[in-house]
Amino acid sequence: MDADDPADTESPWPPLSRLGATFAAGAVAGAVTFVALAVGTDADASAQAFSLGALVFGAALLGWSTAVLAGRGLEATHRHLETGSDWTEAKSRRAMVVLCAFGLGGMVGASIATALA
Amino acid sequence: MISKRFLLKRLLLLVPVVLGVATFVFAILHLSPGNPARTIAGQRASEEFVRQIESDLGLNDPIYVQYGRFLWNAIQLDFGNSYVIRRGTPVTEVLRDRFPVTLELAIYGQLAGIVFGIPLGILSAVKQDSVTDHLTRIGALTGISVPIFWSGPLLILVFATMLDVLPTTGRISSDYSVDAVTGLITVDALLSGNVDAFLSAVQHMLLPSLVIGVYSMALISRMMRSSMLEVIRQDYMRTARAKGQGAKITVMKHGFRNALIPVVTIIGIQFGSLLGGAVLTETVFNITGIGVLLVEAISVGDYPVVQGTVLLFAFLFTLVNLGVDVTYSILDPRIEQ
Repeated sequence: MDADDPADTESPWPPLSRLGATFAAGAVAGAVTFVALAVGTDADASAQAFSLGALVFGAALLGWSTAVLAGRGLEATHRHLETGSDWTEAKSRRAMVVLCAFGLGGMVGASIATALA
Repeated sequence: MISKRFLLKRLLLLVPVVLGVATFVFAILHLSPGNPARTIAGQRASEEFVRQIESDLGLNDPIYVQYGRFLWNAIQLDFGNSYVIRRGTPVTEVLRDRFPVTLELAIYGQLAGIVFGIPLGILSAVKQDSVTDHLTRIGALTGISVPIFWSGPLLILVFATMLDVLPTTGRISSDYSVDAVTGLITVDALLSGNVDAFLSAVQHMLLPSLVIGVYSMALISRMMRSSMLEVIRQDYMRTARAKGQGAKITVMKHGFRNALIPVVTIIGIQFGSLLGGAVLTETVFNITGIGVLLVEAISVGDYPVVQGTVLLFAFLFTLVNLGVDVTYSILDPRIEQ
């Protein structure tokens, strides 16, 4: 994907291919975390691995909502204060969607690993 | 007039916010150490008994099943039963008892802040660099800087111990018994028609409201001052004055409404935070609101109460923000665009 493509930078949604890849990466991370915790500690590996994914998913979902709710205002504030920041609502929303996919992937990965174990 | 599309969009955003908070709280509680079944059973309980409770609560189910069940129950406003604080009582009932206490405190505290903060901020801006302005600014700075755990006991010392004019703790004198209708003690006392009980409730609310009010007043007056200063320098204000309109009318008719937008943000954020419980104020004045409940629940490991309280707080905070957004669009319809 070309980061300099204006259409790409303006869209608040990341491409599906990137979402899919991030979800898969999250799933692998969730499964690996489950295995590592199950082998290396006495903790409830399933709950811990799933919760770590849920933590990322929950935080990203909140971040996305905040970007939608207050993103334009924050952008305007940056412009008004001439902070020189290139932070935009669209970029923030895309980043949060990617994080959501990773977190969700982690939750699914941990669940699958639990079911298979 | 607020457009339905704007309102619908804002209402729909409540869903991801509440889902995000619910997931976050679920994750945090499952990552934290401790076994809820052990908490319920007690430290001396047998392993067998603990296993039985785990099975009853569904703690042995796979984590994704627990997560799904938690979300499904939360949609139906079922947060389970309290483990410790009011063992066996549904969390919604615990929250229903405690929330009006916090709501009442938040309303009175915020009202005091608005009633005094806005006029002081306007006065300070209109009379910039005068003695009034300096005094108001010093007052506001003091109000923001003084922590509640210091101002609360100080007010108790002055008004309750030294002057003996106001009660120190609780919500109403033990001499009166008021039936709970709304849960707001002043309103219930008024509804009961007992004037003495009403006065007692008002007396009990005065000090805690004042403590919260001073902080809110300081924040609001500072924001009102800076916002008003920016507005009165605008061209349209100068034009209104040049056309012969009086200074007071110009400020109140053209300046006030435009200067109010950032102040509404502060009021919204402050009120939203207060609805989550003014923990320090509630602790100092021994008021059993939602803030104290949350602290208690965290310290004893009463997970359902923690989950219910945090979710209620998140929901209310987003609802207040929705109110702020709607107020924005009333003050300046361009914001809807």
